[in-house]
Amino acid sequence: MTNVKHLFDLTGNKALVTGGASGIGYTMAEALAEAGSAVAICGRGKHGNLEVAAEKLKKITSEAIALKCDVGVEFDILQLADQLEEVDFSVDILLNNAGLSWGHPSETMPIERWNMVIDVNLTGLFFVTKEIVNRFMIPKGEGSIINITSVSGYKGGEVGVQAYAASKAGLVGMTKQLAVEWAMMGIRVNAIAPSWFPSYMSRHFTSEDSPFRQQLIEGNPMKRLGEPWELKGTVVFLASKASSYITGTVIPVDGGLLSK
Amino acid sequence: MKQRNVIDLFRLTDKTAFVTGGAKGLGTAINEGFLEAGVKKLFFCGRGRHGSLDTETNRLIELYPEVEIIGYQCDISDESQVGSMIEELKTATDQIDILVNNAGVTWATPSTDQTMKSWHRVIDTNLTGSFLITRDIAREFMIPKTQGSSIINISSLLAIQGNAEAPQVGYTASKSALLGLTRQLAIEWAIHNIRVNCILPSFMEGIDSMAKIFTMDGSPIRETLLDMIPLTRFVQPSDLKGVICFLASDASSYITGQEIILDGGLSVKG
Repeated sequence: MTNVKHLFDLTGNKALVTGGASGIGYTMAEALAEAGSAVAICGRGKHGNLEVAAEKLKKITSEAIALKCDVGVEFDILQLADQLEEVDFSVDILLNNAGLSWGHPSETMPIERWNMVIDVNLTGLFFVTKEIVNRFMIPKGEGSIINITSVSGYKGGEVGVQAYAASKAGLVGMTKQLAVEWAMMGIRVNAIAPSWFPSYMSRHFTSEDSPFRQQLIEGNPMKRLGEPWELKGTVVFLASKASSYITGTVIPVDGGLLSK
Repeated sequence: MKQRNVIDLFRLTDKTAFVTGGAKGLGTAINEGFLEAGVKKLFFCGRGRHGSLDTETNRLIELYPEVEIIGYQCDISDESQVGSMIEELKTATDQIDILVNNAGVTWATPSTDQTMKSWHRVIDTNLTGSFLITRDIAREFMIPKTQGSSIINISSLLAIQGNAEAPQVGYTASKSALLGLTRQLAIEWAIHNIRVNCILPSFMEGIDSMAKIFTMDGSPIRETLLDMIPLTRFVQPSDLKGVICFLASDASSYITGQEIILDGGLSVKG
């Protein structure tokens, strides 16, 4: 029987984290690096933040690379996969974190904004997954895919996040379908559903001066927001052998919000 | 805690754990997982039939002589036995950080033939017994302290799916009820920094568990079951160790009220 101490070790693995330059994406990339995995991060690369993040990751693990990719653009996805092949970065762990949101009351939501969210959060995520699975995971006969969904995929909340909620609920269904379809190839597919964690993306709700912050804290059974490091354990658990019999599941990291 | 390497988040150093149904089967794998993750003290209980408590205690002490390990005889369906054990436990430790409600029994027979006696035997242990232990350990050890505690209920995939091959309605009802118990206690005790989660394993292999009659070589439905499971194998004891240490440790500090399904994809297959 494997000793539990080794179950969480990712030494020798290669992980790709989409949207890994900042926010919770970076924190989760850091977790994979700390557990011993080589890490590639990709993102739209605004303000040169990709390179800065990769430099920080290099201090933690043997190999860290940054690649420019807008997952909402098919050409970018193909180029990303080509570049990974060129540097022989054969992905074992895919963390689909890239995502965006646009808040607008549902009754007047413009289709352009709707498409912008769905194209990245759902469509982009699927096509990145398809490309990585075909090029790296199926040939190896193994892989772990982790999709970042949200408690918004389960329960309604703030006004105007209909596209985000739909995309995140869509990921739950997609996670289950891909898990069943690819289990035979040794590929596991799971998801994490965080509640509110402070980040640049969630700043309108979670920052110290946000009028919503106190409300979110009061509404949570643990009476606090999540701290970014609290996602690290779940990512490493799902990426590693510690979860080798878990596929098709969603793990909420939400301070108990969904049980209320 | 923020500065800790993620691997350190899974360590249980300085923690004390209590496992019900710890003398046999799945309980022995859970004990091992905790010891491997570095717990300071390990307590467990069981009905202790055929000397199983001594056998398991001696086995563990031989592996981990530096850890304080005590096995208590207790039928958890009996409130007075639970009460006496808690009193004894208080003389051995003032700290319990982790509780695993693993003890369980079953009675398989068509539902039309279930008697009041067999129904009660199952519900009184799996549900009421788990609640009694949880109530007392939370009150005596977890609520008084401020550091985090973790309670893990071992439910079953049967909590969310029926099974035609071996109907065991009391077991199924008790395991579903543990999901409700998990959510209620998680919400009620979140302010005490106690997390409550549960695990839903499917068919187990390699240990003396209730699923053995289905999964052992020679079982007439072994192959049929394997064909139904996307990952084409049964649950192994090490699968349980990983998820238990994840839920027991600081690696899951913002997770409460949750169900972790450990089933190789069985339940998501249409």
